Amino acid sequence: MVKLSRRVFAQGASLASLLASLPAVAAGKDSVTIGWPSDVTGWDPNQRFTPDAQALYKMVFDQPLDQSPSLKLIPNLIKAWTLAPDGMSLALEFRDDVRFHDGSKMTSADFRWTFFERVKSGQKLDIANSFRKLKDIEIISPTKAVMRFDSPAPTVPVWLAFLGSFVVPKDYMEKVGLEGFAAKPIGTGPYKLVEYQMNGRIVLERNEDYWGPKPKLKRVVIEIIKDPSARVAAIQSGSIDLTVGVPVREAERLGKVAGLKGELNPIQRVILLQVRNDQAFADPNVRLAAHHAIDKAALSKAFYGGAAVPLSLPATPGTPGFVDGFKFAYDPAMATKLLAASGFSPAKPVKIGMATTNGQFPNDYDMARAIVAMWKKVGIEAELEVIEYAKYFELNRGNKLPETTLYSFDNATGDPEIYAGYLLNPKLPFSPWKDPVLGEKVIAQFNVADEAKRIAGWRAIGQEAVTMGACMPLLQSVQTLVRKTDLAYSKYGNGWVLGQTMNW
Amino acid sequence: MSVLRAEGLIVPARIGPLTVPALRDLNLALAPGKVLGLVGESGAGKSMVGRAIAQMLPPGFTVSGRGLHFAGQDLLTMPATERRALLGRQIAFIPQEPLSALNPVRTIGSQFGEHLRRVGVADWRAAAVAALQSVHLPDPAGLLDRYPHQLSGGMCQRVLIAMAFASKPALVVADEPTTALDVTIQARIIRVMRELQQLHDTAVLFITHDLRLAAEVCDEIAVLYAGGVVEHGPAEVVLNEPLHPYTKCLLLSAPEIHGPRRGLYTLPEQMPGLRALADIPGCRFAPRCPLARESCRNAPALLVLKDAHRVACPYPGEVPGISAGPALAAPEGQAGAVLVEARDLGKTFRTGTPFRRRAVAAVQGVNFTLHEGEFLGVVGESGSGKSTLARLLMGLERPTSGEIRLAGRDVSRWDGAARRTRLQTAQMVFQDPQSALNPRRRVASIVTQALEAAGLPAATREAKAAEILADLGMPAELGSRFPNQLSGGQRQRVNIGRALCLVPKLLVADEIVSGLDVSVQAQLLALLARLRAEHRFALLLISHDLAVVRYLCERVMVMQRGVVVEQGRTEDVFANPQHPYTKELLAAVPKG
Amino acid sequence: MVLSFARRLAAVGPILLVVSLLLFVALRLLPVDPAAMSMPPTATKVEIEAARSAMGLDRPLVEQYAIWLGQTLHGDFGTSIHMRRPVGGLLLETLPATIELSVAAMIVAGLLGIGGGLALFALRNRRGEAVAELTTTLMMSIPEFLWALLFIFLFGVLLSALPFTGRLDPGMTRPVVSGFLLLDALLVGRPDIYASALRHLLLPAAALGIAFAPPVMRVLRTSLVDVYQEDYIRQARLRGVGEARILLAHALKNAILPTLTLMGVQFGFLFGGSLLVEVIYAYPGMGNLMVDAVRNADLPIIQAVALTYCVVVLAITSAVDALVLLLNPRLRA
Repeated sequence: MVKLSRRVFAQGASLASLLASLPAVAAGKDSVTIGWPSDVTGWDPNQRFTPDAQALYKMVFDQPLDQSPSLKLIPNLIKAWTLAPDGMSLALEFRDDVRFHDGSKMTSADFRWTFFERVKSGQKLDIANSFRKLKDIEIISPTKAVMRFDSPAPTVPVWLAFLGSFVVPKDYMEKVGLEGFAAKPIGTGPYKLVEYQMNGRIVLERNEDYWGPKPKLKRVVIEIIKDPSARVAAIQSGSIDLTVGVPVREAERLGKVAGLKGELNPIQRVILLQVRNDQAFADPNVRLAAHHAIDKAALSKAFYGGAAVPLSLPATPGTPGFVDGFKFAYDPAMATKLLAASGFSPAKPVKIGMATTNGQFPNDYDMARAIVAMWKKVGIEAELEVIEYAKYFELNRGNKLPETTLYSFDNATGDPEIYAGYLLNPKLPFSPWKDPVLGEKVIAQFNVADEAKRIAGWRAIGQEAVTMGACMPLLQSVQTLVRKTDLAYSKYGNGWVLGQTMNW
Repeated sequence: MSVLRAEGLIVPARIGPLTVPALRDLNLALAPGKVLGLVGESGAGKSMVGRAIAQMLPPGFTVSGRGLHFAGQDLLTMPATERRALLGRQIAFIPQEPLSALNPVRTIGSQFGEHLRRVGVADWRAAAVAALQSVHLPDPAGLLDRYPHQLSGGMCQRVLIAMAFASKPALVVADEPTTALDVTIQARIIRVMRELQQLHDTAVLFITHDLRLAAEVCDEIAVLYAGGVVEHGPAEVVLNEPLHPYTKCLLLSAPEIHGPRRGLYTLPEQMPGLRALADIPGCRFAPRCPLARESCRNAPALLVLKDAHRVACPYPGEVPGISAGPALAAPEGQAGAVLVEARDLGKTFRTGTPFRRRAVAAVQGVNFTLHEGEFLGVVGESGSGKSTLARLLMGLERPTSGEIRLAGRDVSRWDGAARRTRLQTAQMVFQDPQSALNPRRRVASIVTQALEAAGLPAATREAKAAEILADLGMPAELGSRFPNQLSGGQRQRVNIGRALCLVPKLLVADEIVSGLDVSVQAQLLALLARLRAEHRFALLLISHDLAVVRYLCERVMVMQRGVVVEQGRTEDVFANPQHPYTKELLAAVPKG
Repeated sequence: MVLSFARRLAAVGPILLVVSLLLFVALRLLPVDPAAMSMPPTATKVEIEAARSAMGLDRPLVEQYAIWLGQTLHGDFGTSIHMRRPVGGLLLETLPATIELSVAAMIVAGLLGIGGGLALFALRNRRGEAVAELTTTLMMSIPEFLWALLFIFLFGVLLSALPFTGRLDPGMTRPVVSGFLLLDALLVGRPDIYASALRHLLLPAAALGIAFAPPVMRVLRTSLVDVYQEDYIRQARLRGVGEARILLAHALKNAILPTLTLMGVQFGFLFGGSLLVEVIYAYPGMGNLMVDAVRNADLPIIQAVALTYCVVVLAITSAVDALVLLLNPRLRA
């Protein structure tokens, strides 16, 4: 017989009471806990382009230029910028009151280090690809510098507010090295990194000496919760205060729970069909018929609760590339007519191939299947193939993509070059459309220096591409967000969720 | 007051819809300090008494009767907790298989200590050491820290005996305590038991199938047959002047090591099983009894008293007239040509690791010859190497030294020619018919297996199967049965029949009659004798039972630890043993 | 006994070699392009080829393997393609967490399994047996990730009784000494951290443990049934030893041996199964790392983690074998 000794019993009892007495989560009103779907790849913000990590980086680091919630380009670390008329140089003036978290002053030397010297010294950084045209950065004074390019680069300011463009300290980095920086990163941002556990938790504390508007919340805790069901459970149980990336239906359901608010926010992400210009899609009738046959409103209603705006252009409303009033109609009758003209019908359908991801963005696979069903009605038989997101680029490079691919494209800046330009440029890996006629136009447009001309050109290209069936935009994607009702934050058009804009 | 008294004890067993008494109207009385032997073959019900005392009957068995009294208290009406309290304290049990009766993952000491603490001994360690000393075990203190598998069978049994007597019980029930042990060890165990029994004046219930052994150990003997006592009296009287035909037949069925050579009495068929018992009115022994008459088959036998000697037969006077046939005659004609010749035969097994090699010489320097038609017995205890010798002959092991010649050809090497010679000349019969016969094959196919291998057509094989079965004395319809539908004796016959199918010149039989009931053993020995007359094969009979070898074989080889210590004509060796080991073996056999 | 153990250890090297070789070949035969995945989408073909060359992926397979083997034997597990950090450091950060979780789960499985096995055995041929059997079957049919989700919604959301993300409460800082949080909390003398870590460990360990307990229960029950047929049990009964003592002091010691061996084998599956549970519970262990690595075709991490799994499983099975050897005197020759 096992005799439970009194000592063991007492120990067990005290442990039990300790376990029971601890509060669930400290939800004090000067901190917030966010449940985020993915971790940073590392704390060197220039290293890898991960769209989901940008919001996290923006709390610790600053970008040279920033975007307002309505996505207008605004000064940040850079006070003023002037693009030369020929587009070959960009004059910059920096603020002089910016300090890194270790107290050292930020100067133009740090800017040069980040965007030029790091790249030139061969460090493996993704931003090396952002500023290909950069020849040099000339330092005039600690607050003045000039970027020089080898060909017109009118969109550089946009890129200074885009993926991976964060200023990192030159002296500190040289002193501790890359590994040391990754272990203990410092930036100029509104928060300091206090604790980091990979795939676990990020703890940030307010930077009391921040040059900009001081954040209202002292502490931001980001829990990395990769599984969507776990995120739903976490927000529902109240252990986190805000989360993103939950299924649309869950967002709606959670919105009905007392104390929670569910939001479907349109963001700068376009869901579209990328198309080839050959094989079965060599025939414009088939292409245009395919586009006309898609009921975008129905897709929005089915998969995004009606919150996703149907698009007719590769640009979202409110961005420069958007053209009000341009509509590509949902017209199944027209689709049937066009197909008939080429000798196809529901009885004798044209066979094409379609690729889609599964899980890359919410409801991707289901939408693809819905489109296949819509096409079947008019006489297009599409064979669906599931691919990994990364495979898309590989297939494209090998020219092995099927006629069309369901694709989603993020453009946090909203700039039309990054929309239509990137989507249709045959030299870049995003576009399967290799027709030289449109291709030449697109490539040429990259070099236009004059802003007004540039924007007008992209608008024209966008309309032309859609009209000729080289591009089939579908919907503007939405971000699903669930938060506690008392938590306020600034809504950004590109889906950024920033701790420095939050308060209770 | 008697220690144990059974009055009208009945153990009914439920077999399907029937209820058959496994023990029927048992009356026993055991006085303090006396040893009572319960003798019977398997299925007689002797174990049931022990189980009834312990109340650990198999499912479907119950116990009832007028009373089963232990020291005045009725075990049948006692509450279970009280009865349990008696076990280990007042009533102790000595088991049949000593090596598996102790928990293999606990030391001897921990189990002994557990037992002693239960019976209330304060300083268990000292008590345990004293107990182990009383059974003459060396280094008792060190033994307490050893595990059961580190002990031999005999040592384990002595430990168990020590444990049984440690609580100074009033009654000890020993159920076949020496059956699993070699004959020399058996003698030692019996001696130890007797010592302790006399020392503590304990009453012992000694259950065994060996009547002669019982006569050596016990004061009184009760002979059981098919669930009932057929004879009960003082040990010597029952042994020398049995009054029941079954007792007499039992005595005559077992070969003897001493005395003049004689034949064996073969009782027909076998003891009826539980199910069959229900159908027998009248005396249960009647179907096999040489004295049976009409009246026996109709009315149950009555118990007749004659002094302290009770017998369940109305015709005890006719019993002395039962006799076995004459001794086996030696085969006619001269001994044939030399069939098997072994010269300096040896087999060493290498075990252990590269760092610590151990060599075990299982067989060393064996020389012998075997002529055609000759029966040679190989006797020895466990570890003597006799089984290895058989395997060497059959080619199942490769000799590490010396040579073997079969029919003139050297078969020590393992090549095709040797193999062919062996297959043509020799066949082996293994001990355990249970595992030797393929349970998925029918009997007819088993006995003609060799023909099947030779590729003979089915019709020929069927005919041959019928022939063989007739030869074995088994009805032809048994050919279509499976082994598990046969009795142990029948299975062994099939085993032999299979070996004889191709009429080999040499039959190697490894302990083929051990583990069988005496009457079944007698039947098999008679069969072998008859087959020998018909087919004239040579037999190498390996056995630990010297009496069997004396009966059947004209020559004998005595082996000890891999070496042949003595060989010669059986009569000469057994009447006049030269080697001390042979003398020891002969002395250890119970005379009665 | 020492020798059989030594033989075991000697076999570890070749096993790891073969596993690593199979892994290596399999990963490189897969239709993934780690070089392309390591570059941003805007990279050109030339840049990707340069990356491929830098990673050594254009060399013959045998050469690649030899290089990798040489580096690994020196303790250099390569650099993560996706995160551009040394893999060794990543392993050091995550392995203790996974071990902690697996051990906790094994304890749960062990307690549940042995207790359940004893209960099943006690109920055999009695009235509650059918219900017990049904419960065991149900437990076996539900995979660990489903248990994980069920527990989240039951204990995390509905009852709000236990946490289900991470290893500690958000307010607490993780003491970094050994990487084993429970141990570290004790070492720095913080019982509140210990309690928090324990609470966070409860649900994932329970989800894993409850999925792996049923086979243990069954094997123990069957072993007990077998052991109860043995002579020494009957002999103990004949000595008057009580049923409870027979079960615990005699039978269990024998029956536990095959159960332990099973648990050793199961640990391998449990260790691998912790992957899904880690993802669901946002538990920062090796499984979490592996999932991302597979998605990103991050070969160095995949190889290193797979090998680590192999080593841990081998170590545990060897340890269990040694334990069985210790407990079973018959095996010590």
